[in-house]
Parts: sequence; C-alpha cells; structure tokens
Amino acid sequence: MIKEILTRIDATVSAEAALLLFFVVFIAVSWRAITMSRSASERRANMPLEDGVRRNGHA
Amino acid sequence: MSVETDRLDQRRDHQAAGTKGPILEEFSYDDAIVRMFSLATVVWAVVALLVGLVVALELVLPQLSAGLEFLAFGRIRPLHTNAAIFAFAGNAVFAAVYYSTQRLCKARMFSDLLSRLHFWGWQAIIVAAAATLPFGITQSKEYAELEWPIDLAIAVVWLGFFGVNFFMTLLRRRERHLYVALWFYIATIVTVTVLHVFNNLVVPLGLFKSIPIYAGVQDAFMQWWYAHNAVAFFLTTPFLGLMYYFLPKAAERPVFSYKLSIVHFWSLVFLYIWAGPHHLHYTALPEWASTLGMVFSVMLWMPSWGGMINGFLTLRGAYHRLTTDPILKFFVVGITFYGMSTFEGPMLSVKSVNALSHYTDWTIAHVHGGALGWNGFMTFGMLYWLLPRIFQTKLWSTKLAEWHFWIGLMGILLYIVPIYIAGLTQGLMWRALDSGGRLANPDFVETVQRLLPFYWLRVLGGAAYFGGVVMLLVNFVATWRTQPAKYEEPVYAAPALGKTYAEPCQQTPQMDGVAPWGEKLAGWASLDWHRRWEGLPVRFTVWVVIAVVVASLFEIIPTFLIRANVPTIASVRPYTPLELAGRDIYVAEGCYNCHSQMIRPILAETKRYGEYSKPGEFIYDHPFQWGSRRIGPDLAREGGRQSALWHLRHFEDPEALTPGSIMPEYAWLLERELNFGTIPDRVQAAAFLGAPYSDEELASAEELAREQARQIGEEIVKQGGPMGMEDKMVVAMVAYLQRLGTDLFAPPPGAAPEAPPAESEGAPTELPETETPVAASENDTDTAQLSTRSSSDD
Repeated sequence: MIKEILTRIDATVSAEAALLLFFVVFIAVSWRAITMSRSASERRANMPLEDGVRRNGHA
Repeated sequence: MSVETDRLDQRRDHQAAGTKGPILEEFSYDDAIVRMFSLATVVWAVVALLVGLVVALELVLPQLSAGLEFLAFGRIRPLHTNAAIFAFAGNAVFAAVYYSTQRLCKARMFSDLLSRLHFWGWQAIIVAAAATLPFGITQSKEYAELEWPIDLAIAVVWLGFFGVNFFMTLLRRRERHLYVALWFYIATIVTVTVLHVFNNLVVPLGLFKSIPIYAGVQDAFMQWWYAHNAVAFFLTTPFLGLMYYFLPKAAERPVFSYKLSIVHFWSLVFLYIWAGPHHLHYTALPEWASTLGMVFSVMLWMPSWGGMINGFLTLRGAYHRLTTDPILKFFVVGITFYGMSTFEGPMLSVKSVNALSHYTDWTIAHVHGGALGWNGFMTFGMLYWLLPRIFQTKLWSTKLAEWHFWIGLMGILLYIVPIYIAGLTQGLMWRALDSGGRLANPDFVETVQRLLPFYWLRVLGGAAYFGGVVMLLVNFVATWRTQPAKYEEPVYAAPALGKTYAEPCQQTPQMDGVAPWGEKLAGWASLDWHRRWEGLPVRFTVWVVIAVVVASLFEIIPTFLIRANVPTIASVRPYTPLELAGRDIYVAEGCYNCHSQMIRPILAETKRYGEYSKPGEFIYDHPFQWGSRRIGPDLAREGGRQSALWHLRHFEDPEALTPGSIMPEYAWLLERELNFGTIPDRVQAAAFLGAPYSDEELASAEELAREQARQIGEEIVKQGGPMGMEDKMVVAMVAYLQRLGTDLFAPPPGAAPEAPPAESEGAPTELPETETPVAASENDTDTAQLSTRSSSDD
C-alpha cells in the first residue's frame, strides 16, 4: 500500500512548493534587512576594521 | 591557552576585588595556525597547478603518460581537481577562517590542539588522495572520488576538529553580533558536512573499494546535488566570507551595505542548494527536477550579483589605490570573475543553452574562470595582505606581487578564451547536420583534431598562471626569511559577553484598539527575533541547517520516490560477474573523465550514438557512469559496435586504429592478470544492493566469469588476435563494453528473441512512438534537435 501511495504522489508539486517557500523566505529576509536601523547596520559593517584594543606593543 | 587562563584568573581577581563596570578580559590570537595554513595553501597551489599542467599537456601529447598507468589522464585528472579544490582552495579557506574568526569574535580559537589536529589531519587527507587516485582507487564521483576510509577521515577532521573548534570559538566570543562573514563560514561547515555524508553512503568491499548504495538516476541525482553544492559551499560561501572580511580590511573601509549582505547570504544559501539538477538536463532525470534546478539557478543571479556589487562598492573611494596596490587588484579581478561566473552559471543552466554546452569544453572554461579568477585571485589577494601581518615584517617584494597579478591575469585569459572557443566549436560540430540531414562531422575524432590548437593555447595559459604562483611562493619564502627572531604576541582586551545583554531594538508601534494577536504579529514583523538570532550562534546554525536540509529534502525525497516510478525494462538484466569486474576497471581507470554514458534525446546525439538513454537502463549501475564531458565519444550504446579484437587493439594503441585519437594507451590491460578471486564478493555486493542474481549465479560467480572470459579469449583468437588473453584484465573490459546499451534491444527473459523491449513493469510492450527521435528539417536544427521524451521517462 505504501508503495502504491508513493507511486501515486505527484512529485512535480514540490517544484511549485519550493518556489513558494523561497519567496516567503526572501520576503522575510528582505523585510528584516530593510527594517534594520542605520546605526546597527553601520556598527556591524565596521566590525572587520576593529580587531580589538591592544594591551601591549603598537596600537 | 595560557593567555586564556591568565584572563580567567584576572577576571576572578576583579570580581574578588568588587570591581564595578565591564571587566576587560585579555587574550591573544593564534596566528601560528594561520601561518601553517597559508604555507600549505601556496605549496598545494604549486602541486595542483603542476598536475593541471601535466593533464593539459596529456590532451595534446597523449604519449606523455609513457604507458605508465598512474600517469594516465583518467587517473590524474581527479588528482588535479581534488588538489585544486580541497588542497589549494581548502587550505586558503582555513587560513581565512582562522584569521578572521578570532578577530571577529575577539577570542582565540577554542583549542590550539584542535587547530593543529585539523591542520595535520587535512594535510594527511590530501597526501592520502595523492597516494590513492593515481593508483585507480576511486569512487568515480567527481570531486568525491576518495574512497571510504579517507571519507571517514574527512568527516572527522572537518566536523570533529574544524567544526567543533569553530563553533566553540563562537560560543566563547566577546563580540555579541556575528558578522556576516561568520554566517558564510557557518553555512559552509554545516552544508559540506551534510553533502559529504549523504553522497558517500557506500557498501565497503575491503579497504580500497566500495560501492555506493544509490544506483543510476538516484546516484546521478545525489552526485550532482553534492557536486554542485560543493562548488557552492566549498568554493563560494567561504570565499564570500573571505571577501566580506578581507576586502574591507584591504580597502580600509567598511562593507558598502550590510543590509545587502544579509539578503545576499540568505538568498544564496536558500537558492544554491536546489540548483544541482541543472547538471542533468536532457538526461534520464525527471523533467520537473531539472526544471526546478534551472529556475533556481536563474534566480541565483540576483543574490550573486548583489554580493558582487556589494564587493565593488566597498572599494568606493579606494579605487585610486588600484594603480599601486596589487592586493586590491587581485580582489577587484577576483570579484569580477565571481560576477562573470555567476552570470554564466545560470545561463548554462538554461536548457536550450545547456543542450549546446553540456559535455563540451565550455563547462571547463566556465569552471576555470571561477577557480582561477575568483578562488585563485581572492586567495592571492588575501595572502599578500596576510604575509606582512602573520610574519610581522614587510612583504618582500610588492613589485613581484604586481608581476604575479599581471602574469596570472594573462594566464587566465589565455586559458579560458581558447577553451570557450573550443567548447563552442565542439558543441556546434557535434550537432551540425548537412543538407541531407546527416551528421556533418560523423567521425568524433574530427572534432577532437579541430580543438588541438586551442588545447595548446590552454597549456600556455596554464603555464603562465603557474608561473605567477611560483612568484608567490618565492615572495612567501623570502618574506618568511625576514621574520623576526621571535614573534611578538600582541595581547588584546575586550569585555566578556554578559548573559543579560539585550541589544537595543526598535519599539513595537503602539496600536490602540488592535487585537492581541495583531500586536503580536506587529512585534514579529519588526524582526527583532532575527536580530537576536544573529547573536545566538547555535540557534543561527540550526536555522541554516534547516534551510539547507529542507531545500535538499524537497528535491531528494521526490527523486527517491520515483524509484517506484522508474520504468523498469524487462530486458535489462544485472551485469554478469565478468562484466562487473570490467566495470570496476572502467571506474578505476577514470574512463568517465572522457566518455559519457548518457545519450540525450537530441537529434544529433541519437544520430551519432543511437537510441537515447532511458532511466530503466541504469538500475544496476552502482555507481552511475554518465560522465560530464566528452573528450571521447559517448559509450552508452557501445556494445556490439566493434569486435572484441578491435577493443583489444584500441586499448593497446588507440592512435593506430583511430588516427588523430588523443586517448592514452592502456597496454597494461593486456598484460595484467585479472583477479578472478575478488569477483564473488563483488557479485554478492551487487546482489545485496538489489541485483536479482540466482543462488546458482552467486555460488558460481568466479566460474561464470572464467567461462565468459574464455569465450571472449577464443573470440579474440578467431578474429586474428593474440592467444592467452582469457585471464587478462582486457577481457573484463571487453565484456563490459560489449554489454553497454544492448539490454534495451535484447529480448526479455522468456520472450521470443525478436520481441521489442518493454518500458513498463510486467509484459513487454512496444516503445511508444513519441520516443522516436524527431527528424530535423534542413533549416530547423535548433528546435528539432531537442526532441521530447515521453512522459513515461519522467
């Protein structure tokens, strides 16, 4: 019976479902990026330029 | 670890003294591990490119292998690809991760011991690859050729040493927010683990041989899901992490848009994982799966170019430095190649383009544009930036770095431009029809000969690029020699993360008269939860895993369900014991590197090779051997085309039978004895994986193999060939090749010999009329060549 069910499943629907899922995620991520404040964005963008405060040697 | 211990003591002291305010902890970074991985990167770059150069030369001078089996193209091409990807690019990724992660987390790596185990373990794996691939020890899956003991070692080193060390460092960090480069590293570690494990599920047959649990369509699908995402998550995401960290460093300005980087990351991670099936257009893969792969590949343009634009704009205001700074030059060209490759990749995934490009050198040009331009130049830019810092001295010669840049760029162009032309030439010659509707170039070797000038230019381009890397090696060693007698170990200070920290977030708008669920929805829409995730590495990682796994399952589960729907062909029988032995030799020699076994439903292909391939023909193929390029012709219907003696002579000296052939000699197949003793285990393994052998066949596998070998030996003698071949490896290869593609036209068991093959379970039926290739009119080759398969194939 399980084999019959599996055989009858229309796998092509997963293509449409995948597309839908992606759009939901994309909209959520875009919304998250848009709503980020400028200060938070700038603070994070600067992170690679801040190695930390040196306690010895050169600054 | 001593500095870490000191800071803990210091913290306790502060607490004991009742100090108020944030307590600064002191720590130092482990740059020794960065030095080690940087050196390994340069050394393996030299090795990988040198092997690549030999491989390129063998295509124009096939006699270069001198009849030595371990130098044959099919065996050392995987060595080149593995060395380039896992040794050169892999070590570069590790150098980048170890340098940037410590600084972005403001913490030393969790364990120096794990760092060293990771380094030496990875180098041992590379050496093991170099010690096995030339000797024909391979799984024959592109970029996953290594046998199961090495695969186990990879899993331990990658996840057990590298992964644990990385994630524990994240947990002990002193910086609340995880910078976007770390996101890319997280995606790399978790996805490569998933890909590696699921693509390497095998049944071991001793220490040096295994058989994948998947067969045919499923095996092909799993392999290209892996291979495409190996490119995505080993050669793209970690290098994007590298770009987002080292480019701002080199340009001395922040990334242009952090918001864009967020969209870039999630879109890329979510889209990439679906795109693998575009490698299997017009094959026996289900139509919906390859269409899905194509659509998601095209959508990849968006995040990829978003990342490229973000990279370029990060250099705003620093472009004037391009004239004097070789590091920025490397980065700009690297990002340009990223843009080119990520434009071209989606284009190649479009079915109509793929019909022309697939199996040709176009793919090789595309891959090398990405590998040499994007991965190579980003690595070189990073290394030139790192060298003065990790060796605490000046770069030995900026002038030499400039020379490296220009000769390297010239090398890339000299490589890819001729190979693009070669690919287009190949594709167009293969499909060209004359006015009578016949193939314009019926002899495959004609197309090979046309490409040789381009192949020579590729050798020149490769040599130039290799020359550039030698300059890097000289600069590396010379810089290292000017290092201080003792490295200074800077101590940094940063406060520990408080457990009660809450990042300032936007206020949820006050909404009078709104239902409670509406307020909750508004709160959710403000996405503070995502901002919190970005400070929670474990939760963040879990969601990356979910994104990757869900996307994978969406494709993998339906594809595996179609196992029940793969139209079985009554006449397709398991391989005989001797054919299985021959197939193993075919795998070991890496024949798939030059020959496909997949005839697409395209008119020119069916005219050249015969009836297009059906999914039901591959159900006993562990592993599948569809291949991905045609340096030589397709072999899917090779069975019965030539005599046994022809094959024997062809292995002995291909050029003698096919003037102009660039196939290497396989004379050792005529000299080496076949090990009949291993055949019964091989047949048992096939039976274990579902091949319906009878008890009698299983019990007498060796005798059956010897009997078939004797018959082929006699056949060879009757055809005027040498005696005594019945116990040589060549008879097994002949047996396998003579079987290829013949089952479709064989009578099913119990049917009259003339009966046509069946495409469905049960009684044989005639092939549907729609499966007959569509004839092309004189002026309509483009559209008519793409004849459609019947829906039963999907």
